[in-house]
Amino acid sequence: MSDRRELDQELVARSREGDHAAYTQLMDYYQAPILNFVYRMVGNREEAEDIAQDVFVRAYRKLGSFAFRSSRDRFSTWLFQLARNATVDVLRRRQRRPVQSLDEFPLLAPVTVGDPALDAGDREQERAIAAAIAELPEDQRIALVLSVYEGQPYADIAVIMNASVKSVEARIYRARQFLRQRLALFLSQ
Amino acid sequence: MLSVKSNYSYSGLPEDEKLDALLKTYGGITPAPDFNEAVWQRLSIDKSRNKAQPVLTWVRVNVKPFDAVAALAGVAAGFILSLQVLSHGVAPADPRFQILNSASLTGGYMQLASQGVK
Repeated sequence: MSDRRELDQELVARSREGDHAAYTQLMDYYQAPILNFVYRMVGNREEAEDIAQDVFVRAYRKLGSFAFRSSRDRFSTWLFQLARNATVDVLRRRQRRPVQSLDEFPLLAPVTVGDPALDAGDREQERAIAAAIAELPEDQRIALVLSVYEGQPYADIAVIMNASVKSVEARIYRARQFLRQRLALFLSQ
Repeated sequence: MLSVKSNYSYSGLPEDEKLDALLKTYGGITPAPDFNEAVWQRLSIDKSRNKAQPVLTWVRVNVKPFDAVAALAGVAAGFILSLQVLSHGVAPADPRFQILNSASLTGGYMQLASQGVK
């Protein structure tokens, strides 16, 4: 992990000096986690790609404001922070001006995720999980997705969400309780 | 009605592990091969846009019916935006630049758009 931090530090420094190859290397490493975080938040592939690309555009422009001041400062945490802000903006805009699209309702939309070799039962399960996660309140969803799918430690999630570690723990606990109930059918197998 | 056939069995696992194992079956997506290229393109478009092209602009002007002051503010905003567009080197006569809707007493908004510029 500290190796990654050191490498990021070097790549960020080179990117700031205009080294495109260095920033491309950062994008290569972080594009999948950022894209998947956004995807699990908005539930739509096209929108997720658009937001994720925008996150890297914003990050590049703001590289000057990011600093590795303490051992806790990580490029990944900062990037997830930008992704979280961009995603929350989109979700709130959606609430104000709801646009109905079948793609945003995982239960109704054709499944486009995962392994194409999945059988019908697995697809149904995947849709049910996506729908259950989409039902979570925004703060619980962010915390859960970062923890379960992106493997972020609670301390980093707290930084990303600008919250205390205790409140992150509480959000994830409540999210898991809800999901356990919602997905009881699948868990009882 | 959901049928719950799956190739994986969660029985025998502790509760938290069961839930994690189930959640992990929700697969992710793979970034498109041109992901990086698209980011670089956006960054370069941004650069050139700052230099020469007008920016697509929506201006919400809160114009209440019969509110002359607000209407004047709307016209003033339109005037300033027109000047900004002109300062980017695009004249109003240019087909890329159209005022679709001028300040409206009833519509409550004014929209300026540059055709061909996304």
